[in-house]
Amino acid sequence: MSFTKREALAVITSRMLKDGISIFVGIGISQLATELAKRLGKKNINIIYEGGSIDPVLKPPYIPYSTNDIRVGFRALMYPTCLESFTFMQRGLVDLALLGAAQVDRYGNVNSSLIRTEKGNLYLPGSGGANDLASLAKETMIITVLEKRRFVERVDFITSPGHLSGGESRKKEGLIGNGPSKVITDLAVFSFENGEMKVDGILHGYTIEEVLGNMSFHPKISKEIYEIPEPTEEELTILRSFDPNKVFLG
Amino acid sequence: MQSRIFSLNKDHGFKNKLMSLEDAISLISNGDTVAIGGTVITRDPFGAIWQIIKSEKRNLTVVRTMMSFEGIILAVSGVAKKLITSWIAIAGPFGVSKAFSELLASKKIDFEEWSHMGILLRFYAGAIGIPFIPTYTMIGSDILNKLNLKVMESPYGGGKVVLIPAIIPDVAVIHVQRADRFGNAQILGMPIQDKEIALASKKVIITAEEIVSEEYIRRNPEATDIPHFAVDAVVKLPLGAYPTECQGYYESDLNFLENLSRYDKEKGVEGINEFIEKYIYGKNDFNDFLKTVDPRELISIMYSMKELLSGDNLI
Repeated sequence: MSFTKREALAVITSRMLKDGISIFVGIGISQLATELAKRLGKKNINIIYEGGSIDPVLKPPYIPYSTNDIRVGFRALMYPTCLESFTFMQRGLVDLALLGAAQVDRYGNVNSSLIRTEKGNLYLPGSGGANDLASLAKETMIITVLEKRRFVERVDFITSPGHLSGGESRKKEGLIGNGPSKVITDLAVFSFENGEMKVDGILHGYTIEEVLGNMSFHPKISKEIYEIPEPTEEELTILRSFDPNKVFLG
Repeated sequence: MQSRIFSLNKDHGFKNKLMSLEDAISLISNGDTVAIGGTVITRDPFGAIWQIIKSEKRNLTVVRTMMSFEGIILAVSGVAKKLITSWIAIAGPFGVSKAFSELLASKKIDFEEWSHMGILLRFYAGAIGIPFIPTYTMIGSDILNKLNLKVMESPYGGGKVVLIPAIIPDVAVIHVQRADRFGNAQILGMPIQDKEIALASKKVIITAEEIVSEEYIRRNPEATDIPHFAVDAVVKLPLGAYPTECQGYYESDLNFLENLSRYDKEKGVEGINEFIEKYIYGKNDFNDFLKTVDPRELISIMYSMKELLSGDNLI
């Protein structure tokens, strides 16, 4: 069964999520991945949205436009205020937060504010809650397609702090969350060693050269790289049923 | 202190505050800091914003937790000189605004980026009447570096904290589902942060889908988010959040946003100006603007909201 990059990204992410934890989720791939994980048996995952919704039920074809609309409110357990959803995280009630990235560097610092180009700055929508997730969640995972322009040596602007300049720098700076534990892409999965990105797993059919060819910096490479199995028919069928109009999966 | 003294000098008794949209918006002066309720495309008080642009207010500082197209047209129209927010795009699937990027590049607008929690804490501190509140968010980021906030070692243990200053907007503009004539306002569905946005502000303008009786409010006090003594104006404004969603009443009209996004993508600032000319300056009032919407579209967004709520009781 053939699949798009975004479908691969969602499926691989869903496999990385542990059951029985609370996850702060954004709209798009991270939501679809979390819903897929729940549907495939990790029923004790609890989802929190920053717009103020605790563990709602996804109601296809009503895919949410943002983290605060009624489409993330269907059959929820609670509608906290936006601030409460963040203070839950500051208070230690959120185990994992999923983050997107326009740019990410070898230390897992994320930029979603502005890209510097020769023709001047390209402005992006900004942090939203991304900085707060990166600052406060016990752990984060960065979810993005693997592209040269995204995986850069140094981000142009630290919207969301990762391991800053590696080593103990994050802790020294005073951040209470542990920062990114994984970077999940459509081709490879990375972990962090001493605050630096390291290739751990590669999608079936791809090589380390192809992974490195999609990055602007050379990451650490695990001695034993595992193979990530292709998305199965079951995974893809369920995933596509969430987003029949291909709002996020196209 | 400034907001406390301002509020202590106000009349807090029961007063009929029902007025026209035009009269309510006249509470805003040029140069004011105006807070907008809702977030992204949820309960955007677009009727009130429409009137702010129509009234040609100038030099406003506009603050909203997360902005959508309303921030862009407030900036392009020349109403706002500064935006304070954590996120801005046309919203929905329509992404970054070309017009807004042009404004930023040409430095025609001041822009202050916060994290979402950072800006929520500003309203929270304002709402409870204190000058600042400590937090752990934003540490180590370029957002914090640019904001020039005070950072200190907590005097009670717990490490390094960032001190977030309260924000005291001159006026808050908030759309709710129900209010009575005194200003007791009820929000259905997700509360977002409107209660704190209202309580942080010196003056509060409420627009409401429905005006209900005081009796109705007294029978459902658990749904009241904003008390009358914090409110200055109440406007009956059905569809006052259109083209954004008002939970329990209608969903966002994505076709409208797609139309706006075409003006933006094709011509940037010039396109958005054409949009403003056609849909705001070219119309007599907000209801006149609403007449440009295909009634079938309105039925469709009301129907989909109903479907999303079926089986659920939101209050």
